[in-house]
Amino acid sequence: MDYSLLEIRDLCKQYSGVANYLAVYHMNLSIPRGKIIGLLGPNGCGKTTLIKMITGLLAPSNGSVLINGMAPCAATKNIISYLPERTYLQSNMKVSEMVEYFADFYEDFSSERAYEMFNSMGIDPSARLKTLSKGTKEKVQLILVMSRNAQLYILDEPIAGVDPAARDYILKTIIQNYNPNATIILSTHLISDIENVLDEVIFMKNGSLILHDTVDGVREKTGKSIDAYFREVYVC
Amino acid sequence: MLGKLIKHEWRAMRKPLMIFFVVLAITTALSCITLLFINPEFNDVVIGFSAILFVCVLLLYYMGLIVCSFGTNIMIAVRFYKSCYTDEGYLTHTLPVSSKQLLLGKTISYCIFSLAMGALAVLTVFIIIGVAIAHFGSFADMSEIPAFAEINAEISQELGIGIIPFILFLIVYCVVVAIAGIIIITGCISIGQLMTKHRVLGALLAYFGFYMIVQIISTFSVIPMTSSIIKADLAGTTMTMWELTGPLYLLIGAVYVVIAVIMYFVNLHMMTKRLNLE
Repeated sequence: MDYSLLEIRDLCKQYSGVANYLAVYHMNLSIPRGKIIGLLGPNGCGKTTLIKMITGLLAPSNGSVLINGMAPCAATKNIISYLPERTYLQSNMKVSEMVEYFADFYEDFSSERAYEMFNSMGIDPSARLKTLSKGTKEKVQLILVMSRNAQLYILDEPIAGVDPAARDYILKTIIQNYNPNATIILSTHLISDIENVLDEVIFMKNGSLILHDTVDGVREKTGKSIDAYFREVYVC
Repeated sequence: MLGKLIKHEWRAMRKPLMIFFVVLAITTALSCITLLFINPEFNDVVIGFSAILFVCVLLLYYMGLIVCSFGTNIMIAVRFYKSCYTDEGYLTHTLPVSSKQLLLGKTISYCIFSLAMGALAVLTVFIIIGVAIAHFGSFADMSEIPAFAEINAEISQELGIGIIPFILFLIVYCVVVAIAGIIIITGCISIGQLMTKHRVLGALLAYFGFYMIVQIISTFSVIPMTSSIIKADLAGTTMTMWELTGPLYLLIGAVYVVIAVIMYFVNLHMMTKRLNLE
């Protein structure tokens, strides 16, 4: 059976503490293979919650997430390469130890590719993570994630914490290192920086999907760039 | 994958564990050295001073033992919390392993660390006793020291159980309680995650709840023990140590095992169905 890479059906997430706040509301979505998709929306619109449910870090209140036809499990985690919006590396470890850690657990991880990228970014593999700046830690994390030959890359705010010069390099790294048959879901606020690399966009508002279309389709229909259209949709 | 999980747990925890091992080694070595300064053939003043010094060092050793024992459990709790429920949890829970494997890997690793620390503590006790016997034995008339069979018979009579079976029982009991203790600690940390805020406080409250359950059961289980003593006293008979405390040990051990089994499944449920990383 030919499944979509990612299928989201009637997905809801309700947080019980804050007046039963609904972070994701009855969402339906189908993500094909071989695309770079921007997951866009203002702060608190449910992007990270949605990503956490896809990666199995959060249990949905209702509905389902299917990756290759399977609910999140060890097999789906094996094909998803996830970059969270925070640093998940163990600070007392060396960069080279993290490479070994990834190589141990992920069959599709390429240590050679990781060391090549560390070298080109001037990151010392023998450095301990706690001695690195926040931006460098984010770069290390991104390199580890992009050194996998995964089917689905989920990158939550990959360029938020780095300087504009590094952004270009990171975007180049993402484009050059992903498997063309794989899909990348990129969540960010910095739309103008990524607009040119996107195939499709998803707009979210108040936990709901308000738009899922190709970048060219949006440009044709609205006569605006994605960045300009985003500003119009989410005007305060 | 289980082997890899255990390997990386060991890597993450080996350094703090080594510190505890070094603390125990230093306090044991100090105890043995001061013990060797006590010479029964010297005058009373010198013996008195060296004995006082030895008691002080022994207290230091005892404190080291307590610090290492509690420290290991605290270190395990911190490691479990950090790797599963803080930012590091984002990596831990996206590894291509099932929650069952993840929990099993962590539980096995922590049990090995805890038992290794326990074994080391027992070893240091034997080292100190061994040094004491070797040192004072050189001043004593060996013919006056009773044979093991004689000591065994005397202690067995007091205990109401052979000394070897009693030691074996104690070892098994300590191992079971140590393993159950680790599972309960990690289970309490997971229960704490049910709270929206103050999750560490939630974990502490869960552990306090477990501690209260054990205390209440222990208190109530003393009642039949006391009534047995009174009955034996009225009947003019005596009870052995094993008859008195054996059932209490078994009951508390059983409570630990039952709670540990429940906690293991609660933990697994929390990691699969209720995972909610901030």
